Amino acid sequence: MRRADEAAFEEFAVAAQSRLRSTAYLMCGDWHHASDLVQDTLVRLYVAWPRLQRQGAELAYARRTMLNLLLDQRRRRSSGEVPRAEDDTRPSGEDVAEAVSTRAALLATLDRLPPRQRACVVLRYFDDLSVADTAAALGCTEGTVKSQTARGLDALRALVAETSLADLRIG
Amino acid sequence: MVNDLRELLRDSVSDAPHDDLDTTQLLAAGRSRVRRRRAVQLAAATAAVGLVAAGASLVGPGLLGNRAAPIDRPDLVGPVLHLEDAVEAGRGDVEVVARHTEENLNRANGSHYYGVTDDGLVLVGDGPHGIRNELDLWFLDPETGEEQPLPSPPDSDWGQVLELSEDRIVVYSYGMVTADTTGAYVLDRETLEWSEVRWSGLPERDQRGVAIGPDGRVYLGVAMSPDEQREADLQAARDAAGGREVDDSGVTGERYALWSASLTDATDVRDEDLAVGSFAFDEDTMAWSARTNGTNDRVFVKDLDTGEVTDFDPMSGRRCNLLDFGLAGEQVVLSQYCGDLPEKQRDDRVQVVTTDGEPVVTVQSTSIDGAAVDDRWVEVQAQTLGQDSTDGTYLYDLETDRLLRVSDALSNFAIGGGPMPPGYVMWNQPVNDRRGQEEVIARLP
Repeated sequence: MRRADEAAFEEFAVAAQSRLRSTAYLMCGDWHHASDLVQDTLVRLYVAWPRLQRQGAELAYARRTMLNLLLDQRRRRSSGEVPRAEDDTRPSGEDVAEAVSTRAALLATLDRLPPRQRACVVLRYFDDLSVADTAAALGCTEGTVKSQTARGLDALRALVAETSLADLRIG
Repeated sequence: MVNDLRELLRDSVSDAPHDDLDTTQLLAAGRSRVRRRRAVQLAAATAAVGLVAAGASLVGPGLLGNRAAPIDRPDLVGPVLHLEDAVEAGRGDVEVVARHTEENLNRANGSHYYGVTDDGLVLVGDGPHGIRNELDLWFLDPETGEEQPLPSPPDSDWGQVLELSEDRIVVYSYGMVTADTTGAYVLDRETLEWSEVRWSGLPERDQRGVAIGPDGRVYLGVAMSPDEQREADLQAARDAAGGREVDDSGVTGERYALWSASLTDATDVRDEDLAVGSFAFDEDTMAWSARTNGTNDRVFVKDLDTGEVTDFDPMSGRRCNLLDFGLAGEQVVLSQYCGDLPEKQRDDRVQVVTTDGEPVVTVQSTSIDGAAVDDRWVEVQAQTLGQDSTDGTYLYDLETDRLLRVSDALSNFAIGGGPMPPGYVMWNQPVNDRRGQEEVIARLP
């Protein structure tokens, strides 16, 4: 990569890292794992950088790559691989039950959504992506995004009713 | 209290633990990953102008300007080279790192090179020999000449070496196929112990193509039900031949169902729900043709990071049967048989296109096939058993557009060969009046 391109990549990486890491955190609930995902994503982005610069949409590519990595990990884990170790930085289920933290309750609730529903909720309500951009990020149709988001929100409504988030406005 | 989902999501990440991005480490990791993909960016951009400078023919549709070119093949797209355009490789073009001669392979099995590991060791196998039909294996360090013995594989029938990494050797077993099962042998380079996996659940049908994906799984093409159009095309070709040798160029290609299998769990066998012709992997890309062993009008490229699939028509000739398919970095290499020329010579082509479908070069000659060496080099081999003065091994440099000839004949044994890291190439040539062969491994710039 040319020096100027590399400088542009570095600038992008520094600027995008925080946003990507937050999205990753809301998707996985673990800051360490989120950091690793962002690192993996940016390394892959480096490879595609010259092409991306020509085409634009670098952040969209990064987001799609990161989600693909994360959903792929989830898929593999669900087919029998060893789950990751408990994250000691997150509250336990008991903490949620005690409802001392709305943030913890939210993460625990998100954790109970299927990965794609969770991704739709995070991308639509945290990243403020349109239905079309969410579909592009997840590599699915807009109809799928709409249905997955609706199901995710329905599930969230049912789940928060049992927590300290009962008053949460959803959707 | 925050009671809106949007606000709560933002609030949840508002006090994220500090995490400075180490850009030095990030750039180093990126450069390492990109090393195999870099050269082709230049190659694709310079191919067209470079060919003019080199005096080779620059051919557009319907225009062919080379002395050896057939005049009735208007379906060539992009720059075209012929083996006659090659120059002899000179000092500094290739660096031979290992060579080995077997004087008489008619008399007994000999030793052969089976590839180079990612950490630069040559895998050598000798045999099978003796009453127990054993194959002796060892690593040869070409820098020092030092040899490291390895345990013999469980099966002397050996197989196709699929992976030579720093961690393991993976061999797709021929012996198991003979015994109506499918599986592989794996040598753990740390413990120096062989293990085997015999996959249950793979359909018991013909297979074509086997490769290891970047995820470490073995991918196989499994025969699908016969294609009616292909059967009709073949019958038409037989009818047209009228007892002469059948020219089956231009028949509809075959399709295979893509399956994958784990090397650690014999029951983990998956139908990938994808029909392919031929397929190949690079570090983060999978490419496949719609059909193989016949005409093919589509190449698909999947970015394994994003899952995004793009496709294009490679614009291969109308009568070109795809015989072999390779991928390295951003280049796809298609070896094709395109029928016979008026002088009864074969019209064979090695077509190189980018993963975006841009034509890079087509090498057209008689009895050739090609393979992607890495981002920069394509290997072309010509084998007419001495009937043509162009026999031998050639290397096309995508960066400088030179076609280099590194040998002037091919052995008819063609034993050995296997995976090579980027920048390594292997060829063989006959010795002792074609009774034996010499194998050569070289490093490229």
